[in-house]
Amino acid sequence: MNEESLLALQDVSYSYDGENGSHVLVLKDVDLTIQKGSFVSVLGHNGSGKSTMAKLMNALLLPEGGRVLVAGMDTAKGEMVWEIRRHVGMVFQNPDNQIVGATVEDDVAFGLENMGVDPEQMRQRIDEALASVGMEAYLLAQPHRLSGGQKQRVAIAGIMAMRPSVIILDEATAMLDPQGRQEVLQLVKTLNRDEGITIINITHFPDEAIYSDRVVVMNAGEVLMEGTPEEVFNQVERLKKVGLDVPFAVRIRHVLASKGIDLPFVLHQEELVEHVCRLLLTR
Amino acid sequence: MQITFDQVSHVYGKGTPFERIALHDISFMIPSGSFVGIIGQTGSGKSTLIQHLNGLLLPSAGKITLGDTVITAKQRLPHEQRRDIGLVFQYPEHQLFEETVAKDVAFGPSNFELPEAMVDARVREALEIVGLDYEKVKDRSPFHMSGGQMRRVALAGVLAMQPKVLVLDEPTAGLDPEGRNLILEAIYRIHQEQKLTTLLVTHSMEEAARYADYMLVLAQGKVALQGKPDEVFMQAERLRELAMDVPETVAFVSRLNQMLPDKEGLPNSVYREEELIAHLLERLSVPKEG
Amino acid sequence: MLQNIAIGQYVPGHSFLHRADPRSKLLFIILFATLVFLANNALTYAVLIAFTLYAGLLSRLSLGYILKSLKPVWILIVFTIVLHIFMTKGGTVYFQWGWFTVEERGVQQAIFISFRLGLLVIISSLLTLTTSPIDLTEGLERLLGPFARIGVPVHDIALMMSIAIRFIPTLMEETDKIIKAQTARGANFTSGSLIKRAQNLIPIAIPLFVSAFRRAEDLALAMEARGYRGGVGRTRLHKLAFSWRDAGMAVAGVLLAITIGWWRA
Repeated sequence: MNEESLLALQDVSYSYDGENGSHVLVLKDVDLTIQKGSFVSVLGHNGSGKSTMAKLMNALLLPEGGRVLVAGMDTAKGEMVWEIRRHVGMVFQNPDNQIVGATVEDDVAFGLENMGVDPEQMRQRIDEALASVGMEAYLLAQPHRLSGGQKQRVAIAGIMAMRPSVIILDEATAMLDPQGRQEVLQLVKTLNRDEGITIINITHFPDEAIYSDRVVVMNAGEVLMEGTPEEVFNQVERLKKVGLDVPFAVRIRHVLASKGIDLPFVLHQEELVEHVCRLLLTR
Repeated sequence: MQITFDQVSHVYGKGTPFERIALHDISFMIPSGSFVGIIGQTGSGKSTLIQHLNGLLLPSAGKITLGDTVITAKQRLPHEQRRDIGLVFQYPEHQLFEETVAKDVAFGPSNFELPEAMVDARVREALEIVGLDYEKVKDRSPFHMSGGQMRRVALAGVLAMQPKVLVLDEPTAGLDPEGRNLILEAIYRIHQEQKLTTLLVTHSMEEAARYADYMLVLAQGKVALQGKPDEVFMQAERLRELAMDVPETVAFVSRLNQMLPDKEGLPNSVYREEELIAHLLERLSVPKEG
Repeated sequence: MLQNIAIGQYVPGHSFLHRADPRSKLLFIILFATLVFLANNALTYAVLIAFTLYAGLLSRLSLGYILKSLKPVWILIVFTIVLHIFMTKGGTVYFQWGWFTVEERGVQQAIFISFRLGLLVIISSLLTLTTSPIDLTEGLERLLGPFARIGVPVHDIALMMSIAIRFIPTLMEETDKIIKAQTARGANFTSGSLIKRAQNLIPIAIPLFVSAFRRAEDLALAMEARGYRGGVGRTRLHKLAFSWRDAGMAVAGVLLAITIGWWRA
């Protein structure tokens, strides 16, 4: 393991008990390294093992085979579990079901209270955390009065207050409206860029992966592809085969190119516009 | 079934400190057999609007006409007519409660006191429409199915009432791309086969663009825009004012047209992806003459 | 609409009562309830009524609003009055009709007991009106703290209470939604025999239970992910601190106790 890697899965497998006593293997020999400060998107359809992987990364689940290392700490070694969970924060899918506190400030305090932070210090860390997600005006608001996007931002504030190194979004945008999705994505991008927080975004929206440093594609419990967004989305047919979509520009370009039109690979709509425009004007 | 809203308003908690106008003077007419996309942000009044369609809410003012039935503040929808309007709520799988899939799907039709044989036939048919094998799933517990399957069971539960109007509130929310496609395709298929009038409430401009032949854009309890999809999407500026995106196809065309000389541009009415591709192929594969 | 129902009946504010420590408010209520039961003549009742009115003023809520809290118990009060007027005998006979009499003791008791009930309801409403549910659980947890030593899971009880408070609005909304969804499928909740109506609750109750369990499971996972491991080593954001207000309440309590003790018959 080199110095830069923050999270490492080494030959990890995991299974759970299915219906009528069967054994379902959800992860098979997964090898994956996440660099410190990177923004990684994990794509895969339901049942591909991506959520299990997330839960292994902060010791909510322990691997059956292999090792999971968080900043060099082995998750299977019980004594480090609280330190690991402080390092690796998780935002879950349903915004309603992860808010513990009856007010925003109580909820952000929850993790700090668990860590045994001194109440004087807590106040300051809550204010800072809420400011970092732009929710400082809602200190005393009741969670059920907030929009879905705001609830997820409160959940992120709860993690930020614990001063984490990684935030894992486990389909955290799946239940949000487009605005809420934008709010949350914009926020984690900022936290990644300005605060150096490593982000792992588990999603099934391919367009959320465009702006990440690395894309990991999971299928049937295995890492099917791993690389830059360009490297991964260039393999349109392979992605389609496992039921995954690609971003709009990639899709259009792929169809046009397959009909013999000479277009280079693009990820973003703007690039596609430029290339098509050039072709139209010069043909 | 033709649906008309005539200056419909709805006020929640009238006369209390919580009073809130959810719908304000809404008027539109949907011809029988249309596929309508209803778009708007959270809190724009979409959910309130669709609850008027089967009498869960009564208008505070104005008149709603469903086929030959009139609903006003004082005139309720008769119980038997409720089955003509199938309402599929957000996350409909959360309403499943029976021990078996077949029993759950039968709940709706049984409530309208249909003969048992008829209920069974409808259950079978409804499950097949949503792409589930009746023999395989009928005795299974709905709670042991995957999220996407549960949602399709819930949809079947509404279809088994054989409604003439199908209203769906965000039917794809929270599903993965495969689940989304399965459910949308099922909806579109029934819409066409049974000549339903379908209202699809969605946040996604892409979904609306793909299926709708008419669109209603709601903002702050009012109809902000309505018309055929191309008419609505052509008002990109107005949509942006309402903080709503246009589909990527529309955004693409307008970006492209800005960079091209006027006569070289693509038609502004293009909004379906296949259409866009067809246009691009036509323009790009023919070598320029002269 | 279900979501418009106020939870508890807390009215936010900054009055003396709002800012007093929930522990002293709780303790004071216990003392007050005892004194109400000790009061047994017009003088002591007058003192308690005057005191309650003063406490009402201290809450800076309108008197009408406070008296509204009597609404759910007024039938009980009327019933008590009628019962005592008709059944309690002794003293001067005010009215006689055949075997039926209204006598002095009966009227007196009717008045005392109804005031006793009314005072208890009003003073405890003043507590819930001026104390947020969170503060209330917090106060209870601290007051019950000593019992943790004899094995009472005080921390867990308090956490359960605060999570319940947090989820009441969510589950109310959920109930509303499920009722609507089943109504749309033709369910009828308002007609039919009693048994039929009870059966009709199944399509609401089961989805609600399923959803509550799912939420509980999600929440447990989320709590674990945020490092929750029970009460050991936990600190708390809210520090309850006694202030001059609480000292004032203690003094008032002592004075009230002495007065009642002195003047009671």
